Amino acid sequence: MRVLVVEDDRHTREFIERALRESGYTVDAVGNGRDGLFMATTEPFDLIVLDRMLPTVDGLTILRTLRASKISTPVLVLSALGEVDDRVDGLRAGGDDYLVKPFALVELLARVEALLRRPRGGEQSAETTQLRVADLELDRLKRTVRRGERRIDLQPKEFHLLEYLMRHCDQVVTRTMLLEAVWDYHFDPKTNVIDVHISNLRQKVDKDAHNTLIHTVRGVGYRLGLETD
Amino acid sequence: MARPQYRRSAFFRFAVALPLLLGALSGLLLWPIYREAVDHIRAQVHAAIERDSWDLEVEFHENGIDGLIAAIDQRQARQLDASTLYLLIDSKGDILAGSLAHWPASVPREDRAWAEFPTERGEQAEGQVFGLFGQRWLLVGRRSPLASFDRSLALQLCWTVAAMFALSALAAAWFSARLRRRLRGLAQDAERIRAGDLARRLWLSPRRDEIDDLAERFNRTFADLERLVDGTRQVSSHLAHDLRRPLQAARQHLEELAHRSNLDGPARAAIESSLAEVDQLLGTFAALLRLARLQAGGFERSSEWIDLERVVADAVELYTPLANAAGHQLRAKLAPCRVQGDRHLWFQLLQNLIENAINHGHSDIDVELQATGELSVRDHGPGVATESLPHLGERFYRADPARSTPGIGIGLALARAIAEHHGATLTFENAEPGLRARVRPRK
Repeated sequence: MRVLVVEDDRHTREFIERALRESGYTVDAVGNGRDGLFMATTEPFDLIVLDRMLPTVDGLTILRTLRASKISTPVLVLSALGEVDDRVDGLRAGGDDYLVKPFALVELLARVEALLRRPRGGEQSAETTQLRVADLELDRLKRTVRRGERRIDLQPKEFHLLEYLMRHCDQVVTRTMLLEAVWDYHFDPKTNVIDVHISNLRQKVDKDAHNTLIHTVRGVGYRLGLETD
Repeated sequence: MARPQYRRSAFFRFAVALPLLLGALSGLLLWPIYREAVDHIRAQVHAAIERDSWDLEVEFHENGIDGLIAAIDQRQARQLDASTLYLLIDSKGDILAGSLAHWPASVPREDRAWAEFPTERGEQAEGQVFGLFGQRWLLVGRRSPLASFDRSLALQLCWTVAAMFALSALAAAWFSARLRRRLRGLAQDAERIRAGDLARRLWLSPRRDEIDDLAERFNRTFADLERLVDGTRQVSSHLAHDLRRPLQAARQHLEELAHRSNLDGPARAAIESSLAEVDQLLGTFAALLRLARLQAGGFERSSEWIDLERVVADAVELYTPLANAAGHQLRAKLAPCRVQGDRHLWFQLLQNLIENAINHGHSDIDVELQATGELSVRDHGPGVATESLPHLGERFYRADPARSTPGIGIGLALARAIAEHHGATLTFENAEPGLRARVRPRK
């Protein structure tokens, strides 16, 4: 997997570069917008991590140029501007995800992974009605959840939460990702408000089961899957 | 407060007092003149009577009674002076000469006596009595001009005073209305400044009069205040902004350390707790910057219509498990309500109010939304000392003097800034028991 990092702050750039390399990605990193635009348009990448405020060519301009020239490489926008309208600007310009600086490395890695593993080429896979992880089944149309033979009753938000976790099975998802995806509000929870929802969900899903599916990843978030860390 | 209380108004007092004073003053000034004029007229009448009677006396001494009668008849015939009155009677009271029908009752038969008497036509007259030789009595009088003069002069004086009164009342009313209008304008400006429009200044008229002078002084004070407030705002947002970079760098180092090293338990735990603390600081800075931006009007006010009921329900839904885990019941009573604004910001406002209630309350937390857009979050905790209530929602203000509860006093300030951004107010009141936060749309 090849990732392009466009970030002007040397320290942050090297930090991202190192972290991505250690996670097994091939990384190219540039420090200004012109080089970034050149690289992004001439070489194939699986993902671009793009700082919003760049010297020479601004991040959003690069993004618009890429989208205008039909390059659909997923782009993760990094920005010090963290307000909702800034985020909307970033996503409207063609960004696939938006991460506010300062960010936690694990947050960046989780989002990079989510973007890279996102089903490409068409929306059919996203519209699958049946989701299955091990003996856990979720039917989006009937709104039912089963674990083996046992039927599980969930609140609407718990259903969405589980659906999101199952879609990203075996991936780490962070609390902010859950909040954005399931609740659709962008804010910074100061409390462990998400954890309580997860622990309720876990009680229903993993109760009486021989193996647990919902795992807490310390300091990062959660992961749904069979194998443990 | 729409109608000014007239009694309290200095201008009203001025507008009443000025004409009263002027009226009284003119009365006081005109009264001696009036007295003087009356005395003067009376003296002239006396002098005329005395002169007249002197002539008649001379006539009498020189030509006897017949001469006197002839003189009186002649004078009356000549009609030199319409106001002259004569009466000459003999000892039996029979009239020898003169224009009066009979001797007036109020006139004593006493030599050199002055008396006032009415004429047949009901006019007031004044005269002097002369006892002549042979028990004859002569009355020389004048119809007094005083009565009519008195009336007309008094009338004129009264008119003058009344006109003075009316004119000064008009002038005072006009003047005070103008002043009042100006002051009201200044008060409105001041109110807008108080409401947070720190860049506003008091209006100055082109005349540059004393009021403008005063207003200008106030304006200078406002400018100083604005600079100070800006300064403190900027200090905290600059601090937040500038400290973010090194903190961010420190965070990256810590994270890399935690990420790659194969550290053992205690070291890893130390790194993780440092990370958590740095994150908290960064979160605070982010909140401070957002607050500064909200207060500086850096957010465009969204004109999008949002379903506030839905946002409140979402917030309640999100926080219900957390509230339950903390031993609270989160109860919601919602009415359909649509407002213009930003749903994310509204959500943040609710988040801050609900988190505050969870942190400080006991048992139940009631969230209520009315169709009017009035929103309240009430806990059943110990509440807050009454004198602290107005300060809740100020940046860095904490009702708990011991500062033992978590937080640094940003959450409620942010909530208030968000409410004000949407043209609403956030106030706090004791609900006995508990604290109620109330968001009300401004009329």
